[in-house]
Amino acid sequence: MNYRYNRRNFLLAASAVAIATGCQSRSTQSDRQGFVALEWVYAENLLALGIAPKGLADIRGYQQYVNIPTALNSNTTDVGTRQEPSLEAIASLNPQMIFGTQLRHETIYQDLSKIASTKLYNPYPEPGQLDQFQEMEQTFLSIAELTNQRSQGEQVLAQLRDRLSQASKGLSRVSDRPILLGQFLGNTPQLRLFTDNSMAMRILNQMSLRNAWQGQPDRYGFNTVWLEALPAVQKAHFLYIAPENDAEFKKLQNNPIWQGLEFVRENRLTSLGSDTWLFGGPLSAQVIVERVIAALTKKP
Amino acid sequence: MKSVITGIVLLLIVLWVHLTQGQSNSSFETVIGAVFSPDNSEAQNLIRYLLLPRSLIGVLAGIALGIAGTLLQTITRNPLASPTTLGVNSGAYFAVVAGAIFVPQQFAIAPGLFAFAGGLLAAGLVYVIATSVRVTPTRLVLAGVAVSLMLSAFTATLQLVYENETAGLFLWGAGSLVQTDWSGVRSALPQILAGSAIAILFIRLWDVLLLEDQTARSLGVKVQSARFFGVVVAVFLAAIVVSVVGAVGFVGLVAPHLVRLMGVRQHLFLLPGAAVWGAVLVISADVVAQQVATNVSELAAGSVTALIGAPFLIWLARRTSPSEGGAMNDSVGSLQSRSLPGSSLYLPYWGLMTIAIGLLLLALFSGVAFGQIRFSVLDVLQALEGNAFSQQVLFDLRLSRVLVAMLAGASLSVSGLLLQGVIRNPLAGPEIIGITSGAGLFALFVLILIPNAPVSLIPIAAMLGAFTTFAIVCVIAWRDGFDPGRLALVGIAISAFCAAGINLLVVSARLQVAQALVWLSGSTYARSWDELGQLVVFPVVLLPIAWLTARWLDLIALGDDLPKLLGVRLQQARLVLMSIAVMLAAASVATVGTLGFVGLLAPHATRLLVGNYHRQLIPLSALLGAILVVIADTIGRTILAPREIPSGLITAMIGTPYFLWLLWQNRDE
Repeated sequence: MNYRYNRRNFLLAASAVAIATGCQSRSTQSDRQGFVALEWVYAENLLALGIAPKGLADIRGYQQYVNIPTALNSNTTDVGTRQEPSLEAIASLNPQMIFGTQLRHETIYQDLSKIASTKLYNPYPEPGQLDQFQEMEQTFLSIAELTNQRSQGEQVLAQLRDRLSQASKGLSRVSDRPILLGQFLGNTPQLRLFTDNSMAMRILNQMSLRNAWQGQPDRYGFNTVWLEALPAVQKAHFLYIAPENDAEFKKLQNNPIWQGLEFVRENRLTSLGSDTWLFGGPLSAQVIVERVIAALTKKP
Repeated sequence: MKSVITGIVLLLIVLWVHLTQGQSNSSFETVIGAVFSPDNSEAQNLIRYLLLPRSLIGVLAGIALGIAGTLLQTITRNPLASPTTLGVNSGAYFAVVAGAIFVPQQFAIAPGLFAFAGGLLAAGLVYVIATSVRVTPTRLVLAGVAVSLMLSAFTATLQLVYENETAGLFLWGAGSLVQTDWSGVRSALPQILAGSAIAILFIRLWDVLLLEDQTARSLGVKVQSARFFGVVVAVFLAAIVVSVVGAVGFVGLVAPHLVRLMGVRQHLFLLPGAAVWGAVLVISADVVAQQVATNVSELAAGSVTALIGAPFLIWLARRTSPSEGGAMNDSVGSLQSRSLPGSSLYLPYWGLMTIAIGLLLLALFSGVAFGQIRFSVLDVLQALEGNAFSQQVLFDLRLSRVLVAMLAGASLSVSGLLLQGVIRNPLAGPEIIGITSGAGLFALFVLILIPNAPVSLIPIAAMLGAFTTFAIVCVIAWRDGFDPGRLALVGIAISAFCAAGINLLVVSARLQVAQALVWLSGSTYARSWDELGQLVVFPVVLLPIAWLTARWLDLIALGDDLPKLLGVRLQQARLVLMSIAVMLAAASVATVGTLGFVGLLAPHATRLLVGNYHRQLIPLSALLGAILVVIADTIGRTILAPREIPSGLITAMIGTPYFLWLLWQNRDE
């Protein structure tokens, strides 16, 4: 948890609060104001740009799964589920702009457009086009542009790139083992292993870490597997995210196959915490970076 | 005896295939080595701790479901009874999902307990309603299907609201055999063995229950308590399966039939036979599932059991002679005779109609008035001259979807009424005859295969799906005319087949679960004037035609002979009526998704209010269906605002208690 207290994050948070307050005082003048995010990543992007979103879908879920240095403003209104956000709730906020994702909100694009100008992004580009990291950057800049925070946006991305290259130099001395990045789904014997096209793995790549999992890249950036797939990649260092107190994960630890895996026997197995969001924006990316560094440099 | 031995031989063969497949591709020698001379090698460990438990849990699940299905079929004397049709699976699964969300720690300790409690709750509910005075097979299944639909609606609501917590449960819901160690087998083995032992211990009791109640009583058997005891054993077995591997449907239905087809009648052979064949079915399903699955995602065996089971049921339906398949036909007569015109409320027809119209207007008005934003009555009345915002909310967001809800409700209700009348089966409805799930399957196909397709393609696909499934059902069920029982059986089978296909698509295309669930549960969310325009033609044209043809339905209800004497061409009349029903259902599915249950509920409610004269039934049931969906829409977007609950789930939740109350009210003979 020490990433919270470093100076850069403190400054980032402080400036975010300053700008957010600034926005609010300015906003009373115009009729339409504020932004609504229908997917967590766009709320996170707004926060990174120093803007407190006016409305956000599924705030409870956001608080549980997304942990970034900049906290959500308590004035943010919940507008319902991410899949079926309440159009009325959005309309009553009289927002300036709505950000959503094609996957969920394509079908209501017209209704949303009637309420405010609406921008839908696709975080899962077809293979062969952008990778998910590039898409994240593009979307972030697009939101920065649309919210008149272009320079702040470029600054945040530059910071992220700095951090990545810094981490890359630091980590190349620590280990040259390939990395396995996994997410246990909780209550089910299923494990997501991230493929090279995913945003999370692209971040790790930029930290000079290689992916041990060579599964077929899939649109969402991960393969869903179980224990049978792991012996083939047991030489890796396994970084994982698991829900707290997950019964299936506990059961796994008593399994002789699991116990026999090289990364388990040689203690190359580190949790990144249950609230590391692998599908977020630049701030989530920074959290990933800090936690991966902590995981790989910790003394056993 | 022969059936049991063949079953065992077959089981050994599929088990061998099952063990040597999978991602590790183990050789026969490794398997043998892992069993008889285990060392700690990786290859053997894979077999010992992943593949063997998986096979064994499959065998256990098959045994439990086979026995549970046999017991339920014997007790209810109903060939359609099974843990699935009596609500046990959905009750157990509901408890599992609720437990995993709300009390995860306690749930992790004893998932079996949760499942048993849920299964028992569902079965208890079914039992109480169905047996207030006397168990009749039809009433048991009627109540079972109703309870099942309601509990599935609750489960789906939980899954929608707690999308992330339940993402992992979706595979489980479809029935997956994946095991991590022996803990699943260790907890299931003693319980399933105990349950099976008890079932086999009371073999003579089950044999006696197959006899007439009078005869059984004269043999000194307390029929009611014996049945209750049997239900508890069956529920226990089925619930254990749900808690360990999820809802594996159809095995409990098919396995006993397979054994009976081999000529076995006595439970001494029927129970072990069904157990062994149940195991064969589950393991074969998992073999297929693993063949289909890639290293990208796992496929649930439960989806495959339905894909195997449904065609079997169709074949069974074709084999069944009308008299056998017509086991449930008496119930329409009994349902109708018990509710003569006005018998329930002592109100004249015009009075009922006035009340219904009044209620609909009230529902429409509250639908427009209530929502996330509260408007006063005055606001609504003044909206015409009001500000742009209240106009936008009231007219663009609310009025259009309330009207879509009204038309969809009326269409589905009349569709169900026509189908129930033509097929002469109280369980008939667009969802039972396969229309809704067929439309859903086709629409989902388009959604997945052509991800960039224009949204307008989906209704077309739904329409195509409804007609295709309906045509298939008709072709299969046709044999010198439509036998009502056979048509219903085929419909249920096709329904299950499509439902399994939908599940399979969702799992294998790894669609965002919430996205699929919302659409599949039927949603009036964000339906606007465009959708209204697309839907409106169908009810406006077809409802009056339905009213004009209503007299045929009255004649059909009299049986096959009388209409012929009166010069009515029975098959043609049926075909016309059914085409109207399909078009109405397809139009509403295309607009609001698989909004089930309305077509089953509203007509029943109407019939119990006004009796069985169809000129009266059609307008009133259209009104009741409309009221039901409009209220569902209003509740769905108000109660948890800003979260929306799909209307289909609400119709199930408010419709079922009413339906059950009606069943209970009419229990007196």
